[in-house]
Amino acid sequence: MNRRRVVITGLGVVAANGIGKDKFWQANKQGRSGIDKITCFDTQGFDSHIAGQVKDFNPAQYMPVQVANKVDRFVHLGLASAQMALEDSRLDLEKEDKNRVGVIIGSGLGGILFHEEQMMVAYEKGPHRLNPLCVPRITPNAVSSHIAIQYGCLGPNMVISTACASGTQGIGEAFRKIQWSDMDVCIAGGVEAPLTRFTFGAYCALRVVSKRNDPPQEASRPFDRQRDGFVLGEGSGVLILEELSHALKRKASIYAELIGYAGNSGGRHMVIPDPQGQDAAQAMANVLKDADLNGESIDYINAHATSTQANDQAETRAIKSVFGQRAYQIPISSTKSMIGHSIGAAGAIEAVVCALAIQHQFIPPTINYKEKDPVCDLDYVPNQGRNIPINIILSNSFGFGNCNACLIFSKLKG
Amino acid sequence: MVDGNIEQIVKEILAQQLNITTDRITLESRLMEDLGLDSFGSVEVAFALEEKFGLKISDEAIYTAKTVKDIVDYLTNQTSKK
Repeated sequence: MNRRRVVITGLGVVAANGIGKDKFWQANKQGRSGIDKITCFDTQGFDSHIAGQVKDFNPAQYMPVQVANKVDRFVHLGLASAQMALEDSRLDLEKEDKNRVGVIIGSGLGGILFHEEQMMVAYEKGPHRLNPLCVPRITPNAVSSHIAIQYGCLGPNMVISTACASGTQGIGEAFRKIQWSDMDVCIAGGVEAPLTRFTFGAYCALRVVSKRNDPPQEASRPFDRQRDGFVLGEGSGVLILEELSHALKRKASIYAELIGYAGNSGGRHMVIPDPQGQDAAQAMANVLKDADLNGESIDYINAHATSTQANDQAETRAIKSVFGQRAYQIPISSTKSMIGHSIGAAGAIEAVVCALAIQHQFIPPTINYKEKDPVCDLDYVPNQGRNIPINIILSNSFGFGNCNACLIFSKLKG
Repeated sequence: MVDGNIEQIVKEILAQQLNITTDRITLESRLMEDLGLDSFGSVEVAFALEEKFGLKISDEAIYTAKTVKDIVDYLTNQTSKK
């Protein structure tokens, strides 16, 4: 059976530097950071006080109030991006066979804010005071289920949890299921709402979070020699993925085609990447093979690039081992420099970036790049975005647990 | 606390749960047939009432209440025992 072709026909995004694709893209184009002091909980006692927190977000704008009142913030973020993406795609679900419409979302942590609040209740007030909605509010698949309930999607439904690679894998697995005809349309993406006292503290305890609190906008500095860790972020990215002929039949406007996906494991360590980036390189080699391409055709790499010492070096070495001398000619940027690392949402938000980069033929910059690291010596599109012809983009995500995932996007060919 | 107060609180909690206005709820309203409260919704209403009145509502009371009045009577009875 031939693999079917899959295109992107709708985009929704909630990120610290912009809600909705237009505001988000403007911020990315201008290199505007959304990172600032945390206001959603008291950070006293922490070494880090900054995050890519989404402000001015009103859940009731995107869902019925009775739903908004009964779900965790990660579902708010997911439903908001799903609504924006569906609206953007102009897909009329009433005309679709809903058994062929699925929802696959990545989330590293699920409803962790509500979990944390209810843990306090259990310990301080006793088990009888636990909210009856604890289980359906906390469960990670609450997000894919609420989207399906909201829009009546009866096809495959799941949440994929591979930490920082979740969003990329949500989209990748949806891509496969459309390729192999398990469904025709998928609401696919990633979501995370990790800005809680416990979760933020947990990442700080791992010693992977930046302590460069002042000014907050300069803390996330992937590939810069002075980088000191990632800035935690929250948000969501959702794409409408559609089988090509299905999209053409309804005259949908198409952002890009998804042409490759690969996921693998380093099988090595829960947190520390292989310094040589061998497993990351293998993931990139696998995705090139899946897309039937060689390294010559990649015009831009949207890097995982979290702004930790270890990740950015390993990823740079991995890119060099895959692309050889050509690595020096490929523009590579990290949009995490502007919104921080939103864990399970990261890869999906970056997929939105890739679709918009192809549409606008523009590469967003890596901001805060000031001092060259001798190990990281590639073209990181420092501080200024770039207008260049872009046909094919590679996007990388490397998660805790040594889970890697890569996607390849292409401008739609006739 | 007098019955009128309990009645008002019950109506407010039901209205919030069902996303309707309190004037649509009377003492005679049947929870499932008239108001559309499902079994899961009744558990949430019970939880909200427990929080409000600081008491424990038995599972039996949750599942046997048929009308708004049944809830008000149960609560009146329970709060008078306190």
